[in-house]
Amino acid sequence: MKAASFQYQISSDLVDLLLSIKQTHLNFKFLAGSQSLGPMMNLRLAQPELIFDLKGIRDLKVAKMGDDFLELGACITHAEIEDQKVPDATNGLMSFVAKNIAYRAIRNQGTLGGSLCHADPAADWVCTMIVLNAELELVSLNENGRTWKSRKISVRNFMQGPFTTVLQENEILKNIVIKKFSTEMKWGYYKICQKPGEFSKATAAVVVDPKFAIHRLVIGATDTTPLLMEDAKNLITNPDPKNLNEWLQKSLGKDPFETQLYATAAQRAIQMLKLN
Amino acid sequence: MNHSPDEFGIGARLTRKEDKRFLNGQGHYVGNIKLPGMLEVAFVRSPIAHGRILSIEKPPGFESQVFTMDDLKGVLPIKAETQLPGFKSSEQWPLAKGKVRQVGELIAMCVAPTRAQAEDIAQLVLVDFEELPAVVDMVQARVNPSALVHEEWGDNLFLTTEKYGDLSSIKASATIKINKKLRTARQSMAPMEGRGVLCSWNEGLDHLEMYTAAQMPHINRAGLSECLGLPQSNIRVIAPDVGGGFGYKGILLPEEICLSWLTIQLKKPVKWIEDRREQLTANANCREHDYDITVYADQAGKLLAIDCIAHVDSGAYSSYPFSACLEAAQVASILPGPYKMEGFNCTAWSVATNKPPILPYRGVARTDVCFALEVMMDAIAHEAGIEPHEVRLKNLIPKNEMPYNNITGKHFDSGDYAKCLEMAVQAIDLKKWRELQKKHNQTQSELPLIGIGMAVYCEQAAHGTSVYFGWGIPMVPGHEQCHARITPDGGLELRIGAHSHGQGLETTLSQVANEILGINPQNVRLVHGDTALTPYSTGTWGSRCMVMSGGAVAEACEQLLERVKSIASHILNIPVDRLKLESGKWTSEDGQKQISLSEIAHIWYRQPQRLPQDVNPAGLEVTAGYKAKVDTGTFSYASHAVVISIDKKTYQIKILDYVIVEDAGVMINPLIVDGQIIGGLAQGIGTALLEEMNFDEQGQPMASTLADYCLPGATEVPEPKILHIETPSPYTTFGQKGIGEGGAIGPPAAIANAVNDAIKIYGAEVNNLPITPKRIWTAIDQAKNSTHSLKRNNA
Amino acid sequence: MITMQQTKHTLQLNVNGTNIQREVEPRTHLADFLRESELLTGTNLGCEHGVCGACTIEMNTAPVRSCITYAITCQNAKIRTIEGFDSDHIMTQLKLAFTREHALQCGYCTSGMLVSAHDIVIRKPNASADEVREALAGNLCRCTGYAGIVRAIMSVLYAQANATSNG
Repeated sequence: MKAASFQYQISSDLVDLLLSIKQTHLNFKFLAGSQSLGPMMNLRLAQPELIFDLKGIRDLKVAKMGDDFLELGACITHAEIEDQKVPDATNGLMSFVAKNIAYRAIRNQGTLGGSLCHADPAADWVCTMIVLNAELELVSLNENGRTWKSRKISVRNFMQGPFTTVLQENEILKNIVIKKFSTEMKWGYYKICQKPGEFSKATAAVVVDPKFAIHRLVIGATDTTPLLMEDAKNLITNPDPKNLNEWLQKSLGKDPFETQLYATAAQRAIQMLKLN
Repeated sequence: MNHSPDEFGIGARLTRKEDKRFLNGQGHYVGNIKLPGMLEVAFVRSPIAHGRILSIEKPPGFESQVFTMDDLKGVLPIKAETQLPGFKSSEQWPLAKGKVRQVGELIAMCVAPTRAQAEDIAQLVLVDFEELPAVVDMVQARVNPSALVHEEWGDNLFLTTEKYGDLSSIKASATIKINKKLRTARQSMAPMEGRGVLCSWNEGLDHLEMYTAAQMPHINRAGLSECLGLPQSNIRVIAPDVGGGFGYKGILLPEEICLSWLTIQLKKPVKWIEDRREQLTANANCREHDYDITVYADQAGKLLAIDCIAHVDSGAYSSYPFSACLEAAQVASILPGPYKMEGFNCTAWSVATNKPPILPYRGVARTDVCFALEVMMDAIAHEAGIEPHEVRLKNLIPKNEMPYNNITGKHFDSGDYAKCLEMAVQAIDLKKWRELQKKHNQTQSELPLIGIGMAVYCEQAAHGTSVYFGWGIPMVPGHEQCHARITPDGGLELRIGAHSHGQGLETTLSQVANEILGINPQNVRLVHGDTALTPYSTGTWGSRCMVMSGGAVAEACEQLLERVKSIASHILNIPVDRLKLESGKWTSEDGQKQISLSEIAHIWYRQPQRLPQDVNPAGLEVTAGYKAKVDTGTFSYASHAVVISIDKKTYQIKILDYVIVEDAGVMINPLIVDGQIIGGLAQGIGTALLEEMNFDEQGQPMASTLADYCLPGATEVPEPKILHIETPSPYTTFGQKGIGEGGAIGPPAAIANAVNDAIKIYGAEVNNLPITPKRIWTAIDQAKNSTHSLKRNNA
Repeated sequence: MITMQQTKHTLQLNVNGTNIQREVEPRTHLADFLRESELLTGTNLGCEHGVCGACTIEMNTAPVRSCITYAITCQNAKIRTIEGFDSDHIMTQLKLAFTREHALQCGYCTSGMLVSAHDIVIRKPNASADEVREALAGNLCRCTGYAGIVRAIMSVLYAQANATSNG
């Protein structure tokens, strides 16, 4: 299982990378942590002609806590978040999610941005960023060819379907921006896996922040983009299984067993709120 | 027999000598071996399960690097025949000829300086097929086939095995009669190292050398010889360090034949290393049985008879050497297990399907059979209103009737099965859990369900000639030899034909040598795996090594002992029968005179003038043979007891406690015995809860990576409590029995019984392995619906 | 024989304490680079898709899957394979413990298992047996059933904790 041949380029600089993307005619992919792309290339399920290595680009490793926002670069690794080596604006939710992604060896290399751009419906960050209502900063080359320009897009609009995002050909994900929560923020996160480290069969993430009137529930590991209930206040304060099941059945259209898994994940995520 | 007074002999809990190289990254696996000028091979494999090959187009410019069966002139197909009446043999061409019968079947071989480049070439080969319907379900394959895997057969049956018993009077009188349809999943043995082959040809010597990750190198040599038309003395097969076998590596591979042919053609070494995708999708599968089983008992729970129709899904070809007869034929003969009964009737079909061929996996048919039998025993207990262990105690072969010939003629050598079970019931603390169940197992409660299950089984191992010759497969175990040599400096070299790939034979066989010769295990070297250096053996399978190779080593050491003592006697001037062995030295009774093994060796090799006149000129080298007194094999046995909990919302299972009480006769090394049991338990848990290799309607394997095929990890396998009974086998050298497989036999049965114990409050039961959360939910849901409709009908 | 020549890149990195410079094809993963080019065959390939853990090595002091990491992306990295831990005190203890507790049988998963174990002992000095098991989820073993491995790691954790408390 050896990868097909590819050309390799590494830039130290975001503009240099964007220029290279513009100039190439080859079909290319970005390599951040290589934990998702590596297996696909080894299996020859992906056979890009050119790989751009993002590792050296400092602009993609920002970790900045501002007054209202946390900015994390796309190439921040799961391990850096797990170990709290980068600032946290989520009262521990992100570190909790990170430490349960795959295995430590994977987390040492895999990146937040890589995971979001890969857009596997079962991926933890896909679900978590939606419950945090993160914004993504996508950059591309300016007309002058010497600087980059950015556009911000809500993470909810980023993933379109399984393994599909709105990222344009000439674009790269630069930053993930999370609005800071209050100190009263509580969270719950529960996933059902066959065994630890495997891809989830049903995930639920819930965030409550009374100061900002946030009661948000997200169901992940559906076959497509996560399911969002923006105002889940009723459900959270009064988790009636019947209502929950009905909503899930209608929204997901899955068989009763699978529906029950999502419902259970949601209920257990909600129960975690009390533990914060 | 001399018992050496030091602590390295039989029964010592010695840590392993072989660990050193593996801990330091110095394992010598076939993937690590390089030969000058070596090229690498990648295969073009069939993407479809069943079809005729219309054309194969080699990529322009690479024709000399791509080979099909048409190029392999004179090479014969793999044929593993048997002498069982009605057995139909299959021809498996090393590269497909005319037809493909499984996804992953080899079609073309591509060679290049690196594996990556070989895969590049393979990607460019174009194959055109006429696709045929895939034969996927073993029962349908027999009763209503959509196609014939081997058209010339007229059906899809390798073999029909019938053990006939007249059950008419039992059927008429039995109070309890229960029928169930049970199925076990197809699995992949998935050792951490896959197969690997490195072949080289010496033109000057007409000599083929093949390194291969194999369990039975002498058998691979024989198979190669048959297919290539090369005399065996022109072939050397070497199994170096091998990363796990479990049966997966007990097979002559088409890849081995292809690479052997290729190296002779190119006169360059060629290597193929199986990658995980090939391992999971294309090569040997295992298990997958279907049972339609009925048990008859009296109202007190005494088992009267078993009536069974069984299918085994054998895949597309008969593997060499075990053949497609073994698993199904075994079902018919071992289904009675360790129980007494008056009647037994069983028909077992070995069915051909468009899937990779099966091989006997750890436990062989015993694992599936135990599952079927033990589920039925619990069902009898339920109907008779007694505890599961009580029904077993009523029916197990009692100690005072050993040795015992059971209803299918199996000879049980020894054992106290009842005591073993009672110890397990004690150790699992059945009473405590039954109490807890009262609280937990309420339909309205949110607490997890609790289930307790058990299984009793016997494990026939170290099968001898009389068991195997009747089948007439390409291998019959006979006498086992060991070549032993004392080196000029007093060390000991043992050469055996079996192979150690995790079993710890480098350590345990040195313990045998220590027991007899008093030699420190550090000074004993085991040579194994190389057909040029070792006596013939059918190899490592069926938990045979400690009995067979251990017996041969013992015999060889005994013979060496005689020779050593005669020299010692002469040198010390003490009669042979007055010599004592103490701390590795031969001494006079008063301890005043002594001579060590290295001194004796020095005299033989360097000072023959000091030897006695009548010394045996064969010297300090012997080839000795072993054959068990009764060669029907040893019967280890065990009781497994497990407590599980089931989450009432997710239906995930947690193992709360696991007890194994086992009797494998005398333990040569308890550390290694425990290691085998726990390793087996892990695989049993995989069979019970996690592993299934499913095929869709087109015969496509659904799991091609380890992300899809779920192997047990550290969080899935608890540490069991293991209790040992050591009833010596009356037939083996030290009373030892084979123990390698038992751990993998009991868990599916015990866990299935525990799950069914937990969900019986719903009137539900699971009948299929693996027991996934979805299957539990489905069983409960179906039970609820049928109750509901029952209520409605009754309204 | 026709070979498809691929462009090679210059790779500089430190392997087991030695700085080296080699020409590599981009598609060569780190495991193959170490095994084939550097003849460090102690690292084994079990799946080449990052699940089994047999290929785990240490890169810049962290355990990493060498089978899904391309060598050319490891410019200036500090690599330690199983062959490079000879003078490491914790690894020495782990090896002794692995033998004592019979934590290996065929040995194929062992080098990856030891690298992961080494990381656990350093990063989670207070881990319970359950936490050790969870931390080992990414290292598959088909032979041992894990009991010996967990006991071995727990014994080293215990010894480390006692060593620290004894000053």
